[in-house]
Amino acid sequence: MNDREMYAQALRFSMESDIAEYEKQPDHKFSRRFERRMKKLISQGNTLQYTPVRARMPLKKALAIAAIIVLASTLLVGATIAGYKLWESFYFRDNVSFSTMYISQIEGAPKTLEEKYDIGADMSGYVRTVDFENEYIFTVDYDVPNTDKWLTFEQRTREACEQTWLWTEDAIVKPRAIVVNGYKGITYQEKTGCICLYWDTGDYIFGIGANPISEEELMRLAESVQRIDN
Amino acid sequence: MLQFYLSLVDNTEEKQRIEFLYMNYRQLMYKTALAIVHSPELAEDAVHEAFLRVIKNISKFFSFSCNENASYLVIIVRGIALNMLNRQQRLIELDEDLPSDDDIEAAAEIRLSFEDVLRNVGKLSPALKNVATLYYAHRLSESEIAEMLDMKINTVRVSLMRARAVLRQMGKENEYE
Repeated sequence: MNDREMYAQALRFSMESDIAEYEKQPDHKFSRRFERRMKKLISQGNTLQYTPVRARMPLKKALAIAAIIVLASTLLVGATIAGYKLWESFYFRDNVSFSTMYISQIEGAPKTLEEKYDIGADMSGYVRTVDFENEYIFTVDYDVPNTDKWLTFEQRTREACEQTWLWTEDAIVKPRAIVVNGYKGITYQEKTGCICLYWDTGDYIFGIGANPISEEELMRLAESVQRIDN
Repeated sequence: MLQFYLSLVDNTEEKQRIEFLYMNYRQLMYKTALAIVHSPELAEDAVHEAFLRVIKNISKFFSFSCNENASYLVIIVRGIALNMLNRQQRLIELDEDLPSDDDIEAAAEIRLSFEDVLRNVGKLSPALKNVATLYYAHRLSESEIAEMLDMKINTVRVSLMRARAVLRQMGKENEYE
């Protein structure tokens, strides 16, 4: 055995010993905040590396794949497809097992987050944490300590939401169109009880999700969203 | 909860891989981080940050075996936890005395036993052990190590040099004449 092989074997042995020692420790009950952050992180996946100059799937291929999924879902569940054209640049399609939000006419919208927004209403009682921030996505978490009450606010460039997948399967309340401060959007309640609300100002896509909360309260918070970096 | 997907199909396999790694290794990663930072909140932050790193390198995780997965994840979260600890304690890395060229040449002529090497591995700092394990045990290149541990490539090279110096040390009782 040469030196390199010996180093390799010794380091592997050491790593196995380290792992064995760590695994002896009792399992940890992760906090709700951590679980939510991880669920969001796993869902967002490679969107964390999103750049507008990255080559995107050709439109024809995207449409073909979407059509295949839609057809397969229809054949499998025997359900009908409902499509909602909410306005010229925002198209929402409910495919029963999932929903897709399409954003178009993005040419005139900012390529990066040129302004930052957040909830303007009184959020006393909540602990505010900036969960994620880059040039395209800004996410803020609000938690009420020692309770299960939470809220997430998100601001995205329109290009970062060009084609998005929403978790509406088994929704308690199916997606429907709404208006926030004159801007069109959608709202629905996931099977977890979380009420979600998205709206398009033409420059950015905003979203709020919270649980537990009433739809009226969520709308009030959405309408209070204001610029925070001026 | 707000959840977005940019691509309908391309990242499904990657998402499943990430989910698999998270569900199967999060406890190990947490315990690894906790052993260093001694704070449950910081340990959770370290795990979260480690998965950010994993996602950026997810294509590498497709080809790893189970043992390799555990090793890579421990190394990543250990590096992050050490950085957190250093920032917290504002530790300044001491420059270790590197062996002279004569010492290196002399050491190269001496044959170490596996027990010597194993003992020397125990002397490596966690940071050096991370780099050495990725280089020798996992056969990653210096640039791959730099990317995985979010380090500058020169830092990787210096760390490897220091690790080699420790690994080649001879105890006086084992010196050959």
